[in-house]
Amino acid sequence: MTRRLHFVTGKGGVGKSTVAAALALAAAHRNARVLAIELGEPAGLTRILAGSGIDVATFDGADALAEYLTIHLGRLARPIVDHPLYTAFVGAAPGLRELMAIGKIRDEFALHDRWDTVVVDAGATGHALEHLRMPSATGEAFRSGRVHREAAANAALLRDRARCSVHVVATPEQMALREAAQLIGDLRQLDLATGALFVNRCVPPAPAGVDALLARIAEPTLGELLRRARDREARQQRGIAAVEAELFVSALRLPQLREPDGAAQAAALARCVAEVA
Amino acid sequence: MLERHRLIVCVGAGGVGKTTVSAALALAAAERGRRAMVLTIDPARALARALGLAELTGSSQRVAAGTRGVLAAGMLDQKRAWDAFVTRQAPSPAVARTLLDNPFYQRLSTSFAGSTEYVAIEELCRLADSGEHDVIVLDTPPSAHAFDFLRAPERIDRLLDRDVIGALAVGRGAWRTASATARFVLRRLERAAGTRTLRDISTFFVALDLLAGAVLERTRRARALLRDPETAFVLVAGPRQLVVDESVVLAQRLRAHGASLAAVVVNRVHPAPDVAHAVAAAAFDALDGAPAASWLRARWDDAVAEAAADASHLARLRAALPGVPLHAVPEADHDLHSLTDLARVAAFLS
Repeated sequence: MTRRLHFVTGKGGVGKSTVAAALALAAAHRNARVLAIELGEPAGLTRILAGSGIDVATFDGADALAEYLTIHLGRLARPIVDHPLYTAFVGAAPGLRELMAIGKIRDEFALHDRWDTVVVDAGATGHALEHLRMPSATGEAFRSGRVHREAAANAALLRDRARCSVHVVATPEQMALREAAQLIGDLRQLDLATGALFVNRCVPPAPAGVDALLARIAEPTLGELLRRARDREARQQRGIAAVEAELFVSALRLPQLREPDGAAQAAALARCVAEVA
Repeated sequence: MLERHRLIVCVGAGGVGKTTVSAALALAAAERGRRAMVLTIDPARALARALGLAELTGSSQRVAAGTRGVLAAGMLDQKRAWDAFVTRQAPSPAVARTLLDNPFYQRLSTSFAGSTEYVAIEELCRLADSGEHDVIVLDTPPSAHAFDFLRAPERIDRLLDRDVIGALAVGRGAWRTASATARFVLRRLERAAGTRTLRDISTFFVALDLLAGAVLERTRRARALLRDPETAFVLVAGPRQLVVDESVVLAQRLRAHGASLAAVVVNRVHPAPDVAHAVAAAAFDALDGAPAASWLRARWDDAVAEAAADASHLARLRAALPGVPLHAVPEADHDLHSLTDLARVAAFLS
């Protein structure tokens, strides 16, 4: 089984956690050993996957750093981690926490043969970029020492297209598509392993003859409602096509779902994302 | 709130339209004759265009909104605000230069997690003290970071702990005077981070120490401002399961923090279609020509399902936050384009 590390990111509220959960479920369906990871504190992904049988972990950079020190220094680590100097250092050192979170993901994925698929809900665009940019940025700020070596190893994994994919999620609205295009540009500039562009909550394309039928709806309020839906669908097709042309990518359109519940949505989307997982 | 409060802080999950709601609140206050300013945390290009501005900048720009009062808009230019702060507060140009050139300072002022919050507080105090505005509406980073924002004053204080600065600022030669534990910690940190990095950090703290008094003064002022009775918090949410979950947690934390939650705004709500089901069913039955007919029928089903789901999300928020006024803003057909779009949102906030 090929092993793969997935990062999922995008503008806030576009359904990143749901798409990440769908990727995890799709991988589990083909019997991969799957770990889903949230950064920071337990939130959407943990709630969506509760009861799915998939392992979900929360990685916090500050904890990961303390853990790292404990592994390397044993019981000598405690006085360090408890010392106010350490707190100040971790607070001031650029991106150390972000770096450590990525490092811990790398350990889980690359050091042990425990998981086939690791899916990371990397958070909203700005924050995720902070994490993803850190390995190379930190490598420059820390020019020697362990942190430097750690950063170099992380950066290599994030660039390794054979093992890693950074996916971007958007919705078909203009602003979300713009932000996704910008993010993909940033990822490419950082030379990271850019994965799929998911466009979530798409209305299915209108078949031929819809406009002729619309003209026959006499009830004005209903006609107005359906015409607006038709316009929205047309705008959505144009918006996605524009981003595809600009970035030379082919977007993966995910359907708008009627289930209000996150777990049900992720289960429904798992089929649509199977080829990527 | 729009008539009385001097500071309105908008908090909420990412992607719910906090920036738009913040601007609409400022517009509503300006319509009531007040001098209002909206302060965003990013360039918010769509908002700038809607306000008729080429771009939002670090200084406050007046918007030709045709309101009784004045509407102004600005954004937090992190780098600029930090540089201005350092230049203003440094005891000498040489100290300012040392800080501005330090690699740690440079990263802190642009990308270091949490620095937006520090500088937001600084900028907020400056604007609040200027007396140019009757009310400032502050857009904050998404909720994962909203608490970094509220805790920023305490965190800066902790970072500026005299003992810590003392130890980090003295540099290697003077480590002898530090305690055995501190020496041990510094040696370990040096091995992990490299000598040069530790020297950069040390220089940074030496310079920062000289600014500590000014920073601590600001954080005291900021803490007072966030708890002032004339400061109101507005929680912006959206009709989605995960957003509602996150919003409820955020509201609890706000309360625990002693902040007063003045209102909840649920943005982009799908209203129930104003057509009887029987009427719609009859209209669809009269259509022939699948799949076009079934596509249209599915859009009607979408609208009904979305409205029902949104109503249940609203009910859950209401139940979780009893006594807090809740305003629902209906979904618009398009993204924010003009002042008219903003006025539409503002109309639902009164």
